[in-house]
Amino acid sequence: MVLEINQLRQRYGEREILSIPSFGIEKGIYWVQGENGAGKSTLFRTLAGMLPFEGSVKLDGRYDLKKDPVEYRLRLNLGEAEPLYPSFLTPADLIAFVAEAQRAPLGQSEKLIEAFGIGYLSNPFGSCSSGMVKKVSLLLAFLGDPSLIILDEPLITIDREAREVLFGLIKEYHRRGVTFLLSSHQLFEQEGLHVSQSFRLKDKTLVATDAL
Amino acid sequence: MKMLLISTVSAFFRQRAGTFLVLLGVLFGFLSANEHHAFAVFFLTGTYGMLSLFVIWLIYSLLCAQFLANTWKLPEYTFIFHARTWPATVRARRFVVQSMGFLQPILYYGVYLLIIAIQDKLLARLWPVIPFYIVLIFILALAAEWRIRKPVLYVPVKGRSLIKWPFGRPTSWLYWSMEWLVRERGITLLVGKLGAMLAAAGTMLYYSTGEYDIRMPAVGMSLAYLLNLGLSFELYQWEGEVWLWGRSLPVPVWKRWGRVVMVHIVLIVPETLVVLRSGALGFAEVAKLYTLGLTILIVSHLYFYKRSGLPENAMQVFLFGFVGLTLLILYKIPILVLSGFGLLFSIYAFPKWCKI
Repeated sequence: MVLEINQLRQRYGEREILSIPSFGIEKGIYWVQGENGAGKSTLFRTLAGMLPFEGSVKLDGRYDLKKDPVEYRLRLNLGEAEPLYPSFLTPADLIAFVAEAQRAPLGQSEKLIEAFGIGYLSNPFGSCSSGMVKKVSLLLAFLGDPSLIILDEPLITIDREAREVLFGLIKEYHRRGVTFLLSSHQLFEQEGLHVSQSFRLKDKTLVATDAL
Repeated sequence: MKMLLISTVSAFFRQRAGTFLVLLGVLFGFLSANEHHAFAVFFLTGTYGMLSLFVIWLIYSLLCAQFLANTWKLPEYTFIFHARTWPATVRARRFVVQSMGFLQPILYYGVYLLIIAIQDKLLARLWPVIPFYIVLIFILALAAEWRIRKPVLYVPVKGRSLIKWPFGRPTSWLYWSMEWLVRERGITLLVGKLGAMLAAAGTMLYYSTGEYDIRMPAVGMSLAYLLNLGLSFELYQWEGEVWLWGRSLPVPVWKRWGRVVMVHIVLIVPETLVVLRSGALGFAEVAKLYTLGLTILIVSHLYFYKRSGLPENAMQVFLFGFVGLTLLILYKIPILVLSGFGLLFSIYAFPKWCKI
């Protein structure tokens, strides 16, 4: 299993947001659907280790998020739906920092910068449009050597060119064995992306759409 | 009017708070009252006194004008161009008030000059200050008027700066944290540090009035260091909200604990320097107080993680903690033992309280 979830519970104060008894996926491209406020972003943030939770999450059958926090995070990248970065930083600052943390191979950042056409490396995020910030967040999600990449609403605010680059990268990384968890309100098949399976976040848990 | 003051004048002081902090530190930390007086007398009586004063004030005003012109270009300031529809007199009045907001430090210094002029019977020499004010207010109001007549609504491809640093921004979490504190929480930083520095200065002043052992400054400095709690909480929010995504990066637990320690090591340097400068304590004693302050803040900072923020009864917890610590100090428990125990406790508690 690439990703294995057991007894995962997530709360905001007294309110329970997620309660997933068990969930697992093999290699592939998966589509996670859900209504606004269903908890998709909370799920992704939890899987990325950004929020404390109850239960266990395991990657590649070996790396437990709680027991192996560094090894786990080296293999899971998250591109957030509405990324927020400190406004005074520039894309160049952030890319260099994340590339170092994710142990990105030499030249990977430059290749991705060129692919996404990020020509505003010295602009502080405070002066970037939401689309510009989004493109940087997508680039960051491809840095390093991940085995699972989660892209939360990857298509919002980006232009047609960036969309094509993104789908190209997803296909390329998938061929290399990377698994994707994607959430979007738009269909991916139209873009020539074959989705292995779809899940819906319903009643705080993940359910296969064919089971609905 | 309120909108202009909050969006532009407050933003200026907030973003430049670090600079003002350094300036205040230099002016009130290193210059004595006699030296301040000598400067004022020079401005009032020197051959080039008033000219020097005007040049200094002009440089400051031009910096304000540059800030105003650049800030109103930013995408989030597009609303400001609605000011163009204000009647000319209303706009002029509001821009004048805004200019006076920018010139506050100069206005306050003018009051100081007035006091010195009255005290030294130099009132007749003070009159040029009034036309100076008028000219500077006019410059700033003109800058505002020029910008709204020439809206520039684009995202600059590359930021231009008068000062080009010979190095890029370090890819360092610690550096970014401190930069965020200075840039985004400048006023909190300014007030927090001034409070801690004043408490430190007061402690050392009291200490020098009698024969006390280290326990007296230890209690006083504990309080001074505790005044950094607000800043410590800001840093908690920086890690847990502003830079939340950073948690998804592969950082070992020991490194995350180290970050908490490092950021507080830097944070409490100013008040420690005040204690050192007072000369009443030796270096070894100051170092002891410094480690105690560091420990207090690290443990308090971890408490924010335990309670997921600042709970309603937090002040009670901190107050009881301070009272307990004071008792321990008064019962002659060695300061280094207290610090060592606190630091070891923080290593033990970190993974338990900070469950990420």
